[in-house]
Amino acid sequence: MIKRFIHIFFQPHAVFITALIWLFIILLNSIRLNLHFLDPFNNGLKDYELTDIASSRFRDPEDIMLREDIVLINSGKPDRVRLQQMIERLQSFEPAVIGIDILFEGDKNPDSDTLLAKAFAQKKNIVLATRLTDYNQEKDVFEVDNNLNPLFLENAAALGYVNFISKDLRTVRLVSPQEKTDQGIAEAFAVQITNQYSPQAVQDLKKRNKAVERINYRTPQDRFITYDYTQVIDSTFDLSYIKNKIILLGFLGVDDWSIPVKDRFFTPLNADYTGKTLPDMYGLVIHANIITMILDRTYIYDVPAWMGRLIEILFCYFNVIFIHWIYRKFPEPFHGITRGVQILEFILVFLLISVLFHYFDIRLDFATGIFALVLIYDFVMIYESLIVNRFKWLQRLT
Amino acid sequence: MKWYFLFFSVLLSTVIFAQADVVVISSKGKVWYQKSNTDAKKTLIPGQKIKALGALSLDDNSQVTLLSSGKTYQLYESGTHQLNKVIPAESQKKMGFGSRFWSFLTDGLINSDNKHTLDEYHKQHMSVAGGVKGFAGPDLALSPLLPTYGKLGPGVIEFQWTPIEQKEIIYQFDIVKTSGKKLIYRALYKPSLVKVDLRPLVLSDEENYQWIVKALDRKTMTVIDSIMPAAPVEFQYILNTDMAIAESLEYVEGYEEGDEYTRSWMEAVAMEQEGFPYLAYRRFLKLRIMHPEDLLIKKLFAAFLVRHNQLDAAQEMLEQ
Repeated sequence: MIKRFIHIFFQPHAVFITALIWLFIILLNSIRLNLHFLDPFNNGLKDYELTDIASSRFRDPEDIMLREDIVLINSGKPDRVRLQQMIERLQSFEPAVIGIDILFEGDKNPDSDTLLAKAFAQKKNIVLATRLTDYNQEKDVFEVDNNLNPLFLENAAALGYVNFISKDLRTVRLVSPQEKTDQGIAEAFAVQITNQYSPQAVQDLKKRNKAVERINYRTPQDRFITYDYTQVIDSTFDLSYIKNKIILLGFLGVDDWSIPVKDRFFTPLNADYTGKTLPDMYGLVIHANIITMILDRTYIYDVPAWMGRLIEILFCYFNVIFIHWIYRKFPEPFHGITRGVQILEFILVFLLISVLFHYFDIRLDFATGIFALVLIYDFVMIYESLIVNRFKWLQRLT
Repeated sequence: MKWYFLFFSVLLSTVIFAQADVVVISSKGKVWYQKSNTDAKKTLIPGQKIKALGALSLDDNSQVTLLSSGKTYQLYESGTHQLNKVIPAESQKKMGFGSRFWSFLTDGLINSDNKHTLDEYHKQHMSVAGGVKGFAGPDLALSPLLPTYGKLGPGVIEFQWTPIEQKEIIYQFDIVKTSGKKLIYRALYKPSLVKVDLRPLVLSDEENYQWIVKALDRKTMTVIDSIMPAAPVEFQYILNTDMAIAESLEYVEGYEEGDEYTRSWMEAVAMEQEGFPYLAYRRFLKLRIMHPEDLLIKKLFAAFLVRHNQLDAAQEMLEQ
């Protein structure tokens, strides 16, 4: 039994072919040739992950729950007087915490500035946005934006940076919970807000001890209760719904039908996952999604790199055994069978990755495994027609 | 086991019952809810849960987004809306230029997703646009190839039409005033395109004009009856095109803050919306050359071509 098992699953030829494939992949990776024909994906697809399809297309809208503990407030483009009125009115309805995703740069009117700072100081439940600017490589720290007015920052309960880990026009997938700055450790805006609401949730986040977290986008904007600034400053409008809730105040456009580019980002929920189209989510909604992830502990679990690589190598090895067997047993229809098997495996792998991500929040990066699968056919051919014939010791291997 | 069954049945019925609720996601302006004719109107508040019964009243410039059974419904039109009618069918949207711009753009992008949607989009557009812009039906041999209709700006315009595969043929290209059919410009051309500088023709922006192509026998210089001429294509001559487009874009969010690339494609979309399809065509063409790999430009241009009866060109572009 054991002998038969070893005979089937330990095949020296398959080991050689697998080793050749991986050598080729490593070589390709290390040279990093800037050749288009070796680049399996063009520019439009570079910023795309297989799991994006699961995020954007597989979810049944009816399964997406309404999020009632977070309320979004569209600030429009407010002046400081209006903001002060809004804060005072909001505070009278006793929200748990107010996160303000607005950067207060410089001085405006001394009177209105003082009144706004006073409104911030009224209750210690306001988290203000800051911004990290230049990265100092020598000291390994970020600099905090100096243009922000300290009058406001000093009166807030906490400060959190609103930067996302993403280059321009790239999908926002990651959040850095904390960073070292020239003023000490700084925490992300969403982390600081959650800390005011549920310190235990943030403790749990910190226990994970991860430099960056992959954002689990579960809630689109139309599943958050949203108020407009006009309603907030209208003294006749009932805001009692916001009591004990997390309030996120920031820009959500000025017209509900418009899709402004301002403060909007690409996310994996974008239905056009294969290229650059229109940014799909406001920064404020991204923060809301990070908060829901921390509160619900619905983190995405990345399969460790070593485990992923091991799975890919084993996947490649067993495929080599199978395809090599087809080559020897069925030389005539070898091409057709192999391509058919490859297509079937692509579908199965895609299904498996999607199921893991969709149902279990597990993300498996299997891009190299798929690339290896593509190469197997050619490497079996190369091995059989060029390599085996030249080395007698290889021919003696069984 | 029976207890489990009962528990899950109760749970399931609760879920189903709960789905009949409507949650107010957001509202703007004045929106009221009236449960029945005998009840008083109450202001609708985001977060409020109501049954899909009764009516909603919206003031001018008001709007409301409702969530029911996992679907969102948006109401923009002022007046009274019966909830049982609103929930199954989304109401018509009332939009300004900025809103129309984004709605138009999104519509085009969604419909240029694949060959099938592009086809449907073409059918839908042609059923609306057929005969209005001078699109030739299949029975006409000559038809315009470029969107040289609507509003044409000053400068050189390239008029193109479907070529006829006959050797002894020459095209007669005319520009006439719509009222009175006064001939403004006539030229005879062998190729099936002509570039005309409209500036020296001293056209008025208060008049409508038409261009017409006929196929002539080269020897006799008479109209070949077997080849149907293109339907006259109506156009207006607008001197100050830049101002007209800039004014429209003032209402489009993101334009002011946008980089050159963003502003450029937004201008192209606005040009088309403001009735300058030829200018929009030229702009898209330029963008396509500058950004050959850009999916957004590709999809916008394809949607544009479809709207202007160039389905084959649009499909070819998407396949590239």
